[in-house]
Amino acid sequence: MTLNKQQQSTSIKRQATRLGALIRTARKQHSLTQSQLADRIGVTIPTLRRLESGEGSVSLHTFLAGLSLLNIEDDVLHYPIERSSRPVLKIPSNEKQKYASRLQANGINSRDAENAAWILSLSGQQRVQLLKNQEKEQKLCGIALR
Amino acid sequence: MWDRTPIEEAVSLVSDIERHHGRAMLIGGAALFLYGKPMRSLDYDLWVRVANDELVEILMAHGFEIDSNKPGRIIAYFEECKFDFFLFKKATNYDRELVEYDEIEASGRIVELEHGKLLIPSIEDMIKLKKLGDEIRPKDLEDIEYLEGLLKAENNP
Repeated sequence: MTLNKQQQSTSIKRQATRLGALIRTARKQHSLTQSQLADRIGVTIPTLRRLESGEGSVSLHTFLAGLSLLNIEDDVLHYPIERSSRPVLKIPSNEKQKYASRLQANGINSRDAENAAWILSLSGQQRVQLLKNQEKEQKLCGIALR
Repeated sequence: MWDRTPIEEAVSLVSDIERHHGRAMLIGGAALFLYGKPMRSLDYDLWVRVANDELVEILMAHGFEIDSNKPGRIIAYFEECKFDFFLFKKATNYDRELVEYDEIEASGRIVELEHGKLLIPSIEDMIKLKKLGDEIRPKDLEDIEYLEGLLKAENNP
């Protein structure tokens, strides 16, 4: 899909505002004032303000220097492409007892081992459903939540 | 009665954070539950990589009450349930191990759900995360013992 000029300009403005907000948040997390960060990047305070507000243009060098100083380059420039696809541990349901014994042999008490073997024999979806049911039950019974 | 229970809210939040191009993983007691240890409280811990302002916006849209908003950490309530959001990128635990979001995410485990998925740290990383903070609570030690037992059982079938 091709954007027309107006759409392109709106999109750039939105992205610039978002990037500026990221820089402002990271600066605050580093407890730096605008003046301190401007000084470290080597720009004036008005330039840094333009960068943080996403208004006007600043040089690519200034932008990258800001990211680098605030240690947020990876977050902004590289969205991780290698995300885990490994599923959570699951044991076959007919091996619950055997697995519980194995847990006990590795130092887990019998009650925890049996609970764990049962929960770990469920699918991820079923575990979350179990958690939901427990939460509903606790709410119904008025059990202290904290 | 809840319209949505805390775990459902957590799943929905993760999905919204990802829609905002952020990243999130479930840590703490709820993640431990997914590794087989029953939860004793309904507190939720989420480690997120999203700008503070954006997270606040998402939480407000979900009807959360923000209790505290400090650099690197937001505490918010969903009804009586406390949600702790950690926004730091990396930290060192008291065993001097580096705990970094990107690495923990890369070796995390996926919990497939009907609509979407949740990411939780691997067992080894759950242990590292349990060692973050200034003090070791008896509950943390107990959880570490459990996770170490689980890890041994995995490594020595």
